[in-house]
Amino acid sequence: MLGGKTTGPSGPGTVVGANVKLVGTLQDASDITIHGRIEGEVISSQGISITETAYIKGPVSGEVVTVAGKVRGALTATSKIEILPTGKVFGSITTKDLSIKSGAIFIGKCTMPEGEKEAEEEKMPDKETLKETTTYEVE
Amino acid sequence: MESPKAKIVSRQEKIKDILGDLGIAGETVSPSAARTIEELTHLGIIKGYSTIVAVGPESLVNKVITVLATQKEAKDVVLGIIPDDFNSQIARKIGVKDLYAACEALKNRKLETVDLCLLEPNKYFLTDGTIETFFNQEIYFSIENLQGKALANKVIIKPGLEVFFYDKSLQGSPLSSFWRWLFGKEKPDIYSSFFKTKRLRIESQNSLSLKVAGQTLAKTPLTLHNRSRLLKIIAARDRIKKEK
Repeated sequence: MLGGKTTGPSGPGTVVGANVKLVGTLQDASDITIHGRIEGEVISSQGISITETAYIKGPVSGEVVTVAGKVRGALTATSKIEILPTGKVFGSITTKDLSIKSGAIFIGKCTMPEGEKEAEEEKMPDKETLKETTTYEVE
Repeated sequence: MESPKAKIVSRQEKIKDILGDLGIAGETVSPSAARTIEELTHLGIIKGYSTIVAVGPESLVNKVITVLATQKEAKDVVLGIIPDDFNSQIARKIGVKDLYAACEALKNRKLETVDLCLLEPNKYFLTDGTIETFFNQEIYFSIENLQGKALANKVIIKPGLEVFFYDKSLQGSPLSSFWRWLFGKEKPDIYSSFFKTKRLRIESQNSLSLKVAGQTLAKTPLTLHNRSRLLKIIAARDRIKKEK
């Protein structure tokens, strides 16, 4: 439901037609499909599909975000972001699974929280090395 | 040949007979120049009836609903419906196929709580509301914290405030329509829109009519609200089973 606080799916999701322009926050607990133009935030706890004819100026956050249109704003997905060959993203991306198809445009910074954790773990020395180092310093 | 009035009287007699056979008794009233449907419904509420049955077309049912939804005393009153057209949306909604099934549904008294649409200031409806024009029109709308502009030639508003915008662009030119028909190709629908909301305001440059059951209820600008689970209606037993 638009603007609603419910988290469960509420029937068929919101669909924004190609000849529709929206200003404000579009929020739905179900899937959102956008063929039109939106100036503002798009939030869903499920999938967001931004089709070829769509243009979004504002942040987008959902579970799975698929971009075939144009987005100027930050993209955040709890599961996956997919940028299709016709997709254009100008803004930061935050997700744990990213797919950018050949032909797509992405200009911005990408953050993958799970990948960063892994990188940090790799940087940290293991316990044995740490012990040896300590002993060496004492000697 | 039977005159329309005689037809109505004979239908009323038939309904009374079926209800009598099913063991259902009650007061029967008909609107007249002296008493409107709204007044009769109000009287039924004052008399303390627990069930009011609307017999007739959807427009009549919506008038009864408006009285039931606006009066505090009618909070516990249940609405029964005997439609005059069993192919109508209201007949499908309560799941009755003929007169006998509608009367039997009253006997079984399976209740269903339904959402209603409130059209400001004080009109309620249970079936779809439609705004339709021949050509695409610019329609301005606001849904909670969203404001929008849509090109549409048809807007359907369903109880629960589910709003569909249909755009004539989908049909394309007559030539392309013919071409698609010839080769059986369907154009992907990227023009229609769907929203579910609690409040909707619709405005347009030209005044457009909102029709419910073929009757004009109001003209733009319109403000509609969803009134969730506001009314208890009697529905057919089969329908409730199917829903479950």
